[in-house]
Amino acid sequence: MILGPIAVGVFSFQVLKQNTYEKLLAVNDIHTREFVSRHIDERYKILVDNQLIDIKSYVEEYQREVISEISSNESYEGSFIIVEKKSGSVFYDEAFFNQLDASYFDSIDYGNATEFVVGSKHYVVSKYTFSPWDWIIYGIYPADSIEALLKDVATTVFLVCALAVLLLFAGTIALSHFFLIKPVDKMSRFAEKVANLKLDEKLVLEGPDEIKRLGKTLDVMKNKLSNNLKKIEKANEELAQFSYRASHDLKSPLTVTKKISEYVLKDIDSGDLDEAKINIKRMHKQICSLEALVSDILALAKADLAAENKEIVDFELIISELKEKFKLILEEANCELIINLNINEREVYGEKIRYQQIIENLISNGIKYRDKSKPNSLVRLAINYQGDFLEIEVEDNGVGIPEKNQPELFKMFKRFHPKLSSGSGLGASIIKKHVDHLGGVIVFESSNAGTTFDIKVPINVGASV
Amino acid sequence: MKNLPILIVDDNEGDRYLLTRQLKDTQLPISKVFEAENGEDALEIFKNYEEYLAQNPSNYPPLLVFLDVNMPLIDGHTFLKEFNELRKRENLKSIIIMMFSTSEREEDKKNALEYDFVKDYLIKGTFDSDQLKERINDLFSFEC
Repeated sequence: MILGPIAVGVFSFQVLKQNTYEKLLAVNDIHTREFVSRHIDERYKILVDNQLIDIKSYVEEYQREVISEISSNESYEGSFIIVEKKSGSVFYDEAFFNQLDASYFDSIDYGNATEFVVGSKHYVVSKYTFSPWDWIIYGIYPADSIEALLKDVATTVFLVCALAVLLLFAGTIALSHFFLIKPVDKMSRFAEKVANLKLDEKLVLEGPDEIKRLGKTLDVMKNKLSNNLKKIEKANEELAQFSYRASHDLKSPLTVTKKISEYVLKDIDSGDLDEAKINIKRMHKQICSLEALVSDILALAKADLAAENKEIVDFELIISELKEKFKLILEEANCELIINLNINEREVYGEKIRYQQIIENLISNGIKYRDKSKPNSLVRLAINYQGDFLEIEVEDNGVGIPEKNQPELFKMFKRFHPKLSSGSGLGASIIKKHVDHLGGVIVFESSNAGTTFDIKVPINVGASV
Repeated sequence: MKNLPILIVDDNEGDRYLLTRQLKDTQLPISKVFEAENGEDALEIFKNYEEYLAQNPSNYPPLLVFLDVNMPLIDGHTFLKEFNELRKRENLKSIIIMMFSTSEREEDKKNALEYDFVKDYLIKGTFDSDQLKERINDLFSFEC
């Protein structure tokens, strides 16, 4: 990071040095030329004009004036050296070269001198000859002073560049932190939480649109995961609850039957055959309820499987089977079943068993929960088309579902009229499962005047033709 | 104690019969067995205090209740919650409840035994009449 500004500094120094050195040479040359013309040439002209050029004392006086002027020019940073070729004398400002002795100038080859190096000081040189007096005039100017200045400039350039690079670097870090590292860091923490299934945090990323979009996508992903997880948790909880209740309800009649059978043996041994007979009936009742429960559990399990091939559902057949099945039960219950089938215009394609179990369960409930205090018990079944839906409506004038229990109607193992029927409490769950699998909806209205179930199923759901 | 009226709360008639018969086998001085098919009916027995007392002047209220957990309408847990409120205002403080269930679930046991009036948790089918007698004797002292 530091090499760049150094390179820029060195480069600018070199360029400036070269440029400035050339300018310095030019300026020094002008100064020297001016010195020659104003201090030497003009004096010479005065001597020529006044015809004093041949008078040696005048000439020498004027030459001394020039030489003394070399030393008196204090405001000027440069200086001049005059060499008299004939005598080899060198005149210079002793104050200017104060650390030198005269022998230094002996070693200079004046004819070829293009630069002066005095000690550690460098000077640029401009050389003129003044032939009338056989003089060589050197105008010199310290190159070091300009070099120091240039070094200052180069240092400034270096510092400015370094600062710029530093700012750029810091800016890049800050920007990358804001636009990249921070969102990535946030994302990684978010991913870690998601991995640990902690899904309550919302991810919002700041930064360019791409990052924001990524944040949104991840958040959507998390929400979907969360929803699915909730569904799984709910299903798991339902399954746990189901297996608890199912195993409980399966074990209960077995335990009772086993224990009662022991008493039956005792009763027979003790000759109490009447008690034994009653207890055999009790056992029979337990076994019947166990059988009913197992059938319902199987029905519930089947409701989750696409057990049958899809076909055109023959509702006429379902209804004739239904009538046969419920004939005796209806007679015993003194209950009337009225059927209204209006589905001739279109065919329904699907699994027969689902429709069959829905209808059978609803009618069975209607009969079971009839109101014995009412003179005519009846259950009415109507199947109609409602647009693209098949509507199955079952209405009864039974006891109704108590209002406080209505929200729990489709929950498993719920029985609201235990005195009227000793069912498994799974009937409504079975209906609901089938309706869900058919993509339909089920609603009900219930009061002590009776209950109406209304099911709407989209026609030909899942049809492959 | 000379007489012990009891209440059996269970939706299974077979279970009620079995427990009654087992209690008879213990030969403990059980003076009356009340039966309820679910928590709702059982609560009614305590709510209609005066009425039941009038009908059973020497055997009411039942001092020991055998309570099932899984029942329709009001289950064992809900019964306990409501009974806990009920015994604050009625003269039902001395009533002891023994749970009587097929459920061996820890959650069910823990929830029931949290109430100080629930003194035991019996698993159906795991005890004979001798063991039942012992468990009841742990809770009541009978005069011979």
